[in-house]
Amino acid sequence: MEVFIEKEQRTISEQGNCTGAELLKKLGINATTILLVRNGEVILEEEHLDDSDTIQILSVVSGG
Amino acid sequence: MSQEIAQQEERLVYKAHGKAYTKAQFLHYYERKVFKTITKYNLIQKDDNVCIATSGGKDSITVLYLTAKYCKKHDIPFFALCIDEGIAHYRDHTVEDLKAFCTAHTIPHTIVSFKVRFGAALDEIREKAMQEYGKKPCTVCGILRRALLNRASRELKATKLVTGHNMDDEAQSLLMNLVLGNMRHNASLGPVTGINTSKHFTPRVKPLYFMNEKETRLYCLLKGFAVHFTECPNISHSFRAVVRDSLNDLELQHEGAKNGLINAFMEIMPLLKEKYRSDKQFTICTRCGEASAGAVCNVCRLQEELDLKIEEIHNGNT
Repeated sequence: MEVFIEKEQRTISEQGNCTGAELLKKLGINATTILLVRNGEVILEEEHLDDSDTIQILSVVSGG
Repeated sequence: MSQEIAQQEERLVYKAHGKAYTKAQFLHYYERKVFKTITKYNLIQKDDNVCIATSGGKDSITVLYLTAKYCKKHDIPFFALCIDEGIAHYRDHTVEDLKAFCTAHTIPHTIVSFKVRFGAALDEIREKAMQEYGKKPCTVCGILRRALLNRASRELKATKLVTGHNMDDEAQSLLMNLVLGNMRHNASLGPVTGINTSKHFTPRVKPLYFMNEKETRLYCLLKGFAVHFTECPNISHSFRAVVRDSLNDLELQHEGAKNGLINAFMEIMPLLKEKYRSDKQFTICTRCGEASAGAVCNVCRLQEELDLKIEEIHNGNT
């Protein structure tokens, strides 16, 4: 599963078969500060992620 | 409609306060709440000339779009005003996003720069400000940007200045002022900024006051606004970043914490504004004639310390 972390501008590989919330917890990312996008579609953190999914973790905190 | 598209339309995109929203439901919720804020707090009236302060980031693009939509519906004149502080790899990107957005949505806009109005970009003066005067970039930027927003909007004959401040911004300011023991500053917060009115200040209003950052980013994404993630490179120096992170940690553990803070503040806000309201006229800066907290305003102080050149707008000198 390819995961792009926008705030860090990097892409990592992670194992699927987990929920979005579990992925965020593993990466130490606060769910209130991001939007989760799976294969181009915004999803809730509770949705299931597969190995074949392309994930974007978009930061909602911006500006100064 | 294909089954795939139908599934996409039915997929939940946001959940809060015990409710879940599809894309269409969320967009409706967001717009309705912003327009309700405008009407409930009389932020914009029929005889206003509305200036929308816009940096090109997600909050100001959103407030620009929705304020323009509101103004067009009610036949109220409006325009966008962008302050270019001159922060490389940050402001240059957002200014380009803004220009493209305004062109696409036929929104009149003016860009006013630190470089032209003060003789120097923020990048050029931040080191001197920090090394010689111990002033953080955010302090310098805040003083000059606020002054320039006020002066430029006044020179362009605006009667209201709309900003994209959201619930997160307000909750952070509230906490920062509490920690610093400065309730007078909290009295200036609210959907309408300020305590006293003055001909020197264009009244500032905040249509996104009750919307949090996550909702605003989601709105931008679902509307397809080409807003790129950008964080000011100077943010790491700020107390605000510390408070922001603490608030987000609190929100994760106690959903609705930010809402609770703002709602509690709204209850006492009228009392605070009353307590700090004054019939006394603003002090006028002895150097530039602008409203000032003391004999010399903060902009003039910075002008002296950082050797800035203050230029007025003259027919396009922005």
